[in-house]
Amino acid sequence: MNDQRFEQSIRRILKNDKEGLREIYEDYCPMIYSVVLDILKNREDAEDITSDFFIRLWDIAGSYKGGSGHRAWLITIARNMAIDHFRKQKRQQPMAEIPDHLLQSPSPEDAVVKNISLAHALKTLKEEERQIINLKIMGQLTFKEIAQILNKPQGTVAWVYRNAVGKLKRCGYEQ
Amino acid sequence: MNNKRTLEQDYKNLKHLETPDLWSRIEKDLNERPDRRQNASGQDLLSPNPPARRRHALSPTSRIPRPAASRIAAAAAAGVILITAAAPWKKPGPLSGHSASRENAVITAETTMASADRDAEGQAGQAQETMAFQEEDQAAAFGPSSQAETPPAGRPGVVSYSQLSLTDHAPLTVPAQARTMPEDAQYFSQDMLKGTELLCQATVIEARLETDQDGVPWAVSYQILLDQIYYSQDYVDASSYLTVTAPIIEAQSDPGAQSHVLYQLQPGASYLLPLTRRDQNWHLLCAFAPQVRITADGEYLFHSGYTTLVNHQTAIVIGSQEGANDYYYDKMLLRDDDGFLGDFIALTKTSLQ
Repeated sequence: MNDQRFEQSIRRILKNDKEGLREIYEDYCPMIYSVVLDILKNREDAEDITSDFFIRLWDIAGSYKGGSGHRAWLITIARNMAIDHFRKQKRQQPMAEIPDHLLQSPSPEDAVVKNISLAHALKTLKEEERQIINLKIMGQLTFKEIAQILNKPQGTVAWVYRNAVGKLKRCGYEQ
Repeated sequence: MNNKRTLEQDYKNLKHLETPDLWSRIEKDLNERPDRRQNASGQDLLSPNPPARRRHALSPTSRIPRPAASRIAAAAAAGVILITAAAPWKKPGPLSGHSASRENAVITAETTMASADRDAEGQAGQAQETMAFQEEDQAAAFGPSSQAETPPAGRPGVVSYSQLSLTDHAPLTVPAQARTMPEDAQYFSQDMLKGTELLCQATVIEARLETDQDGVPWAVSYQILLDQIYYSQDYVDASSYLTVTAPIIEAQSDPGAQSHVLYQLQPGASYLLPLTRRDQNWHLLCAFAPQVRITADGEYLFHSGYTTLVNHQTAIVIGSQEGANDYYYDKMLLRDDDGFLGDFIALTKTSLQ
């Protein structure tokens, strides 16, 4: 979805047309879900926050500034919601009880061999590397946008990304 | 599988497979919600200042909306912010010493007016800049404060805390082993506002101590509800909750009496808060000074370090000294004119430039 189409969808939302939200959902649900899951590391919580995200998007659609890089906007909101949720959750349980995994049991579709391989390969990455890979591939963000979202130097982001791709390459992937 | 450029596609495929179908759930939630206020006329809401982001228009004669009574009642509450202990000579300010405070403060208020006037004139020509100021048009609408006005008849020059609509002060109890920061670790300066990343009006929902792995308190965290956003460098929405962290401040100069004093926000109270963000966490920008508090009557209680905000309608607020070295008890000021909010936004904006 390009900026123009995104703005059209936003306009539909502002006219109370749910199809506008549905269009954005269909294009970006996997992106939002993966960004949120990267932070929360729990599928149920990620589903809750992803759902809440789209409800919030419905409410705040009017705050979108046209042509301002809608993917980065969506991801920033989703990350803030996930981080806020994580903090609240952290307050309720000791750190040790927060699951320290990224990808849980594979879904039935993971019977596709190469996806299982990729899921396993991704587990070899560090948290930061996974986030950057995710933002780069799913979010299709530039290194500059990723650097702004993660509050890291652009050079660091690019270096981490290349490093992560290098690790995946050793697992059988190339870009 | 090892072909070039398969990583990106495989990654996307994997993520798509992992993503559950949430649409029916989202749609159900939408159906249960009351109709969102909308622009049925199809007005362009993608402009830099979409109406949905705008605070309801405030005219120069209108008042800032009061926080909901339910929010106020939701928590215990507050009185005046600080009770601290610093020797009066420790931080030389415009209002030093109790006995001379009233006279000195009046002089300060008058002399500061000149600079406030100059600042206001300078700010008037800058109204249309900095698109990040979401309420910029309103700041301009406020105009350059009310510096030309004469003091209203009957307006007291000095008021006491007991006259303000504040709830009781209920500080958190801080254990002796808490990791604290000395109160003079950072002196307040208006220039600090240049570090503002979020300027908001917020209601404090909860205040609690943050503890480390050993159970030792090291910070205070506040859950706040954003009532209004006046400036934001990030995408933060009004009506959302934030967690804001501040250090535990110790009044070193008064050991024993007030061994741990929090420059703390009061649950149930509303404030104008300049915030900054570090390591993905929100922090009070000026944690070592009182925040600007909004009384239940819509008046603004602030400290004399905000020299630009002092005008002819500024009253001096004096309370009883909480400790031998209570620094701020005679350095708090009050404005109830509608220009305060605009002045505060303009001051922040000027600092950011």
